[in-house]
Amino acid sequence: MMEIFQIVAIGLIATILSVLIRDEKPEIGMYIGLVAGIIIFLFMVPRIQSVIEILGRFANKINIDSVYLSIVLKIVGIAYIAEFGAQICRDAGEGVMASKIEFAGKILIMVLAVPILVSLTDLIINMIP
Amino acid sequence: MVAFISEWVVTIISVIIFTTFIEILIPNSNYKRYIDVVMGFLLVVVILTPLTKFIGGQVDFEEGILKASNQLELSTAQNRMSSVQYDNDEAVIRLYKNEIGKQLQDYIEQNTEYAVNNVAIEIDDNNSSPEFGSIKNFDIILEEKTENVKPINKTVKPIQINIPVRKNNNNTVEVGSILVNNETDLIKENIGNLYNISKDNINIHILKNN
Repeated sequence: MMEIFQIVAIGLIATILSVLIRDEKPEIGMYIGLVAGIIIFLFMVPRIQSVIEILGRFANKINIDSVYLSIVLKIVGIAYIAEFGAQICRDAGEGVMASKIEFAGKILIMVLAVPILVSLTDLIINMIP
Repeated sequence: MVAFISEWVVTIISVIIFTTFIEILIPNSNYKRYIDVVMGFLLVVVILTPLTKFIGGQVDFEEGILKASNQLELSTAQNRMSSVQYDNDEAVIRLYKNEIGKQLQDYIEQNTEYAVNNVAIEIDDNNSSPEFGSIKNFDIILEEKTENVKPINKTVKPIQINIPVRKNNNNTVEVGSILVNNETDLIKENIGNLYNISKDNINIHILKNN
């Protein structure tokens, strides 16, 4: 759990650097933010992996089909990645690009949700005599 | 009956706990609404699925989802073919095959004791044909899952014992025991149902790791 100190330190250093540099070269500030974001993300990957593994085991225990779990996790992943990209664009002052990324994220979430919707409708139609 | 109801209640409660936990993982953004909707669908499915045993016969929900997403991939590939975005048809077909391969790999690994080593897919790639995208043939190489060891051990070359013994039209590989053959037959049948192809067009080879 001590990673939180490292992560806060990385965040603070990146913030100080980008504030110092902002007046002279604002584009470098954006690169710093991007690199710090990627480092923090990489720090969290092993943790999130273990959480996902345990969730998978839990889902097996309570008889949830692994299809559901994988769909839900894919959707959460898409949401995170799209949010990450959109935030970086917004920080760089490109709000339009950020909303395009969000749009693509929403479409991809919809694509994942459509099979559930179709099967659910089938299920309900089957149930009604 | 009591056992059924208690199992049902336990599943519903566990799914609600599970959903609450997933809610923590969701980023604070406007995606929350969309994810909530999907989670709601899943909850409805989990609640309804046991009821189908009594009304209208058992429905295989997992198969339904796989079929629907397969259909979605096919129509995406067809749309890509007709759009100017992808002028290279081969790239579209490769993308489509990759998606089907991944889907099949997940399906096999979740439903059997085997890990997928390789999947070769042959599809109708003539984009003017009405059958475009329909799967003609699957060639699947499986390997036994090993506990606590990576599936492919680089230092020890897996021994392939699956010299295909072709009998008439059936390409089942005999792996020394009737049980394994029955299992591959079962896998073939499931995959055949899922993708609407004949069992004869599915070849399964098994690599033995030891």
